[in-house]
Amino acid sequence: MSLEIAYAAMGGDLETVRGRLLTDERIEKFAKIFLQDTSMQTLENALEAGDFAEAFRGAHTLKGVSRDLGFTPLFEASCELSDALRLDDAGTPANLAAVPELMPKVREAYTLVVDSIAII
Amino acid sequence: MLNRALLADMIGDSFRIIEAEDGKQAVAQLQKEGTGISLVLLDYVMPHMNGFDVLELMNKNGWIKDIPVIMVSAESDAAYVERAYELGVTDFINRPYDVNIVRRRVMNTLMLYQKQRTLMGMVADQVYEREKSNNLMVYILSHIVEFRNGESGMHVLNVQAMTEMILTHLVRLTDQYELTPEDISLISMASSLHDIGKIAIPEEILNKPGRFTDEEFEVMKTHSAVGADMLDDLELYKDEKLVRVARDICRWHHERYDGRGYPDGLSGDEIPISAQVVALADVYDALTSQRVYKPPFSHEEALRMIRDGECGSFNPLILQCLTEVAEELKSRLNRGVTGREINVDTLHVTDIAADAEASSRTLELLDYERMKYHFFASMSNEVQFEYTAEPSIIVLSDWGDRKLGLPEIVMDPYSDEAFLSVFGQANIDKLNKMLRATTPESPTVNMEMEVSVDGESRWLHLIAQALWSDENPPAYLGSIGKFIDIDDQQAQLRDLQFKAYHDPLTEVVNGAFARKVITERLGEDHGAERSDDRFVMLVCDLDLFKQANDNHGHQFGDKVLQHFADLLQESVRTTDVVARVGGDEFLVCMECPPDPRPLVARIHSSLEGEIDGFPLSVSMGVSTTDGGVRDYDELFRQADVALYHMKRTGRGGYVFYEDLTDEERGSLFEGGHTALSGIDSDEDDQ
Repeated sequence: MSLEIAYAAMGGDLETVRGRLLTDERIEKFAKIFLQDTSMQTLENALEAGDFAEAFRGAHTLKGVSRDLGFTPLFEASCELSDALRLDDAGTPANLAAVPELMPKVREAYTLVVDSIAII
Repeated sequence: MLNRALLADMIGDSFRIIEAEDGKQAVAQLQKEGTGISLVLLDYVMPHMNGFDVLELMNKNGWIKDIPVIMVSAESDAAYVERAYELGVTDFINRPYDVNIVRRRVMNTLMLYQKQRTLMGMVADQVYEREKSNNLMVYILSHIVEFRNGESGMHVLNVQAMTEMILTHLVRLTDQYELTPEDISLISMASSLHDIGKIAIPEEILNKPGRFTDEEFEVMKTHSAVGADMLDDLELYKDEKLVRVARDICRWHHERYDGRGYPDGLSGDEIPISAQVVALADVYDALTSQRVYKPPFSHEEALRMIRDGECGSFNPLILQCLTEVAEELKSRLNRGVTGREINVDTLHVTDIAADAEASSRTLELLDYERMKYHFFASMSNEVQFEYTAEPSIIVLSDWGDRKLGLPEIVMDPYSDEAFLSVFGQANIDKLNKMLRATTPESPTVNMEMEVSVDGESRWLHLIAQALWSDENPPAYLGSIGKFIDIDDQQAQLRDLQFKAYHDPLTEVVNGAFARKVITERLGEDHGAERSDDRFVMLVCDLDLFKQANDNHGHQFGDKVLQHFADLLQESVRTTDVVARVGGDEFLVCMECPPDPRPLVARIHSSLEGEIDGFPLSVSMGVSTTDGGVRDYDELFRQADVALYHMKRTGRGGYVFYEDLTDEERGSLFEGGHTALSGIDSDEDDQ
């Protein structure tokens, strides 16, 4: 039951995830492992340091993982952010101007996910 | 991290899963495990090297042919997918992961590759069998000709082997003749047919023991053209490459470079290179074989006759090849059954193995070699390594990483702090320079270097081989090699040498070593400006030593000997030789001033005294090089005779051999004993 409550709290898509990952045990296990994932920290640190390649990788990883686990709002926020941070051939981010606006959304969604998982 | 863990979890535990954090580590693992890896799941977004960089490297190293790759990605951009397929990925898995899809794709790809390997193996085996049968047929055919000629089949096999050797060497020497390994193999096989025309020569001419008449020789000479005609007249297959090459060889293997051969009088490179080489092989083998009209000549004689032009003229390049493969030739030809097996089989096995589309047989062999390598690496006391230049990665053998305190895989060793702190920047730069200065022909490098392991300095001997690509000019790919810890070795050697040359009780050197060193020192002066250097030799014996043993026990006896040895060493310079040459007999040898007597007196007096109440009384016999004696044995004999005299006439003193009368010198031998046994019996009287 707690898995359902947690997903409802964060606005996640549990049904689809069940279809893909098959067992609740697996979903629960990796949701908890997500708490130890360092991508968010990587993203924050890299932005602070102005290392956009590393920031993109952090956002990209966050996007992939949140999608795998059906953390829909976090997936959507990190998706927008990673698109903004994606480097062109010259190594400059696609839309740096949007980052100050997108980053708080990612933080907010991330915090919600972490808090929700904590109740499982 | 989570990404990889999730994939691993979905694939399940029936596979061994190796995780790599980034592109570089993935490459390092591929390099280490090779085809031990059945499948790679590759992400695109990674630090250091992205997924495409890894794929490009897998292409460059040929891994992509044997190791399937499934690309894992959240990207669905068409250009991106296209590029991945171009780089040889087998399939895609799109995010988000779906357990069933992941499992299906992984299993499908594995099965596809397994099937492909099995099929490739089957084809390779069949090709091999076919090749073998072909070779056999050609061999039997040519044997029929030889059989009629009253010769064994060795001639054909020798010509074949030699043709292959010379051609292989020729392409290394020059690119003037465009010959692929397949061409060489084909020409070697076709060479067996060079004499088939002889089937049309009447037997009484073919096997005539003496010289031919002019008419007979004209008939004999037709065999080359006849052989070619026989092949030209083939209904089927006459345009096959093998048949065309064999035809050229048949017709022109008696042409000569200067145009004086037959049947067409072609000269220089008008004669196909195949026929030129077979002509030489034919001549060489005829010379070194027995014929009805001649005995066999030796390898050396045959070479000489060919070089001197006694058998007609040949292309200088081919003659150069002959000279350069002469040693190999001597060892490979006329090896009876073994030689035959080599000729029929090996050529074509290597052809298959050399093929880039490795068969399952080759892959198994590679895996086997890898296993063997790892086993021996773990057994040996050496650190083995493989280094690739692009990307810069060094892989150390399992044992080696523990020995050097470095991880098994080091990325970018040229800028890795831990790596550099062990090996030192200067050593690494020097090694890199040496390796890059090698050539594909002589790629080996030897170097000794001082390294630092856990803060301790050690000496390593390094043997490495640079790996060069086949391109022209060759590119430096990396190196393989091993470090041998010579610190341990040298310490062991020093220890052994010490033991071999030292008396274990007193730790002065033993007689054998003293003899060696003194002989060297005496000899050194011969002819040198120091020829007026003089040496004095003292043979010292402890008086009443037997009493020390008898009355106080052997332990005390040992103590006396040790004390005496110490006294002796203290009384001379460290460069002088002090040795224990018998039970209680010691030898001292040193350079001395013109008058050695004060020196000897000083040494003698410094030895006298007592130890724990036991009186030390020493008898010494002295000899010098003054009389011109510069031979160890003679000096020792003289000192020993003097010592014996000293013991006979009262102990606790020294005598110079030169002071003895002839009678005294000779008296020693009256009793028929040696000096030493004389002393022993002397003490028994006490």
